[in-house]
Amino acid sequence: MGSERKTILLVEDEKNVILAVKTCLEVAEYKVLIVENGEKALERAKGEKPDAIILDLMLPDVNGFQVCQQLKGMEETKDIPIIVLTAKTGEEDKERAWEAGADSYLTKPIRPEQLWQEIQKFVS
Amino acid sequence: MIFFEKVYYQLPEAVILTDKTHSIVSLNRKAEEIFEANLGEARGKKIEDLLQCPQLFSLLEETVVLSRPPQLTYENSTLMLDVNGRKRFFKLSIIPVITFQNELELVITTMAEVTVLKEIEQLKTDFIATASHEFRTPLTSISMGISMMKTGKLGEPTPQMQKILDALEEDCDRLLRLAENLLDLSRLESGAIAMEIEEVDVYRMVEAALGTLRLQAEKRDIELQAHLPENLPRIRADLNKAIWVLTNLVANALRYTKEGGSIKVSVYQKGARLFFSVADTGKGIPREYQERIFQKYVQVKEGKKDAAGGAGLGLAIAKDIVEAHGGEIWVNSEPNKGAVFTFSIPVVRG
Ligand SMILES: Nc1ncnc2c1ncn2[C@@H]1O[C@H](COP(=O)(O)OP(=O)(O)O)[C@@H](O)[C@H]1O
Repeated sequence: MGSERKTILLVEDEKNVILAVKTCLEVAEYKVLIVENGEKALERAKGEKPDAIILDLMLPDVNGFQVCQQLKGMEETKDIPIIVLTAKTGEEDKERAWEAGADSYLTKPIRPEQLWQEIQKFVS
Repeated sequence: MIFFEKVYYQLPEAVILTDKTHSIVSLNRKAEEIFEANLGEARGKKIEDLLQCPQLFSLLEETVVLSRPPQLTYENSTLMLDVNGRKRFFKLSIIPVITFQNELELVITTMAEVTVLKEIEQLKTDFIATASHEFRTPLTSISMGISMMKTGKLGEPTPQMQKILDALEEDCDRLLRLAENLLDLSRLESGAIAMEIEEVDVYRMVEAALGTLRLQAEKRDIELQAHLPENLPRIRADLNKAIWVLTNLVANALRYTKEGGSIKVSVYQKGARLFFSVADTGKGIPREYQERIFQKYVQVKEGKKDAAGGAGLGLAIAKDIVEAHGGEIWVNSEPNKGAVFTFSIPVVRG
């Protein structure tokens, strides 16, 4: 195990989901940063360079696809893995997320083990 | 006569009388509205000059040529027309009037407006899709919260708490399955998801279907085996939907089979079809239910209900999907010994 705690940026606007996902990540020894909209997501990602980003697609301001595309378009953030976590289950949405540069696509609800496994693929 | 003419004129259905050259003989008021023309202007004109509707025209042609009513189905008897820039839907009937000399004298076409029904149908489909999606967000926090507490990492739950958490988890899964089934069904019924037929490798399909369920079987101490002979041909199928059907049958088998039982999946070829069967050693299905079980909302009712059941939609969806492939699905069962569900799908012709 690495000595330093890895940081995950959680972009999500539902407060109960935030609590659940945050707890799930903290139990696994991750440091969790939380932002509730797209604009702050870009700001925080640039400033703090998290090890991975968990991104909801339905945000109050810009939609998640755009956020994803912008993160992948900026030099400072383009290498941060983005794990989409969304209630959208349609194939079209998944397709769009890939096109926007997402590294992984998970649908809600999700089991903690699944989330841990997925993060480990990108953050070791 | 004048009395009947009044009735005819005022009917809520559109009535159109045409002769064997498809010229307008008469229109009632509702027909005038749809044609956006009054009888004076319309009389003697060909119907295809008044209304852009090849679907109606070909049905009238069929009627005149064969001197009998056309073969109407749900699809071909529902017309979509653009009236005054608005999409409207009509249910059609066509009746030929034949003389004693066996000559076609008139064709009576009636059109009942079903726009509102169609709109409600669409609203229903949209609503179900939205509701099903909206369920997912709260289910995320609920199920994750339960799982976190079950891990013991937030403090060791007492045995009583553990029992409650298990029950909550089970019901959470049940809610999710319900939301998913409703969504699938509404999508299928609205035609929103088209079939994507391709050549499908059945070994891959069976593996994909069983993959996720192996762990569940192991946990419940149920033996899950697949028997596939070598060199099976490919099938013509929508891969994801075919996987869905098989997964659902195996998931049902798991749900209705006790610990220590077994489930056998086998695939065999007969003629131009492959047959997929899922045999379990569970409680089986009473004879009187064996046909009905594939209808929506039908569940076997007996004794106390456990959390295993859903809304009785799974098999109805499976039947829709299998039939859309040109296949069949059925069950054989000896109550209390188990059930064998089988479905067929056409193979790719070599
Ligand atoms: N393998 C099986 N063994 C016994 N009963 C079954 C089996 N599969 C289905 N059933 C019965 O058929 C009913 C309808 O199944 P289904 O349409 O999948 O809906 P659901 O399982 O969600 O209620 C179930 O409620 C159950 O009573």
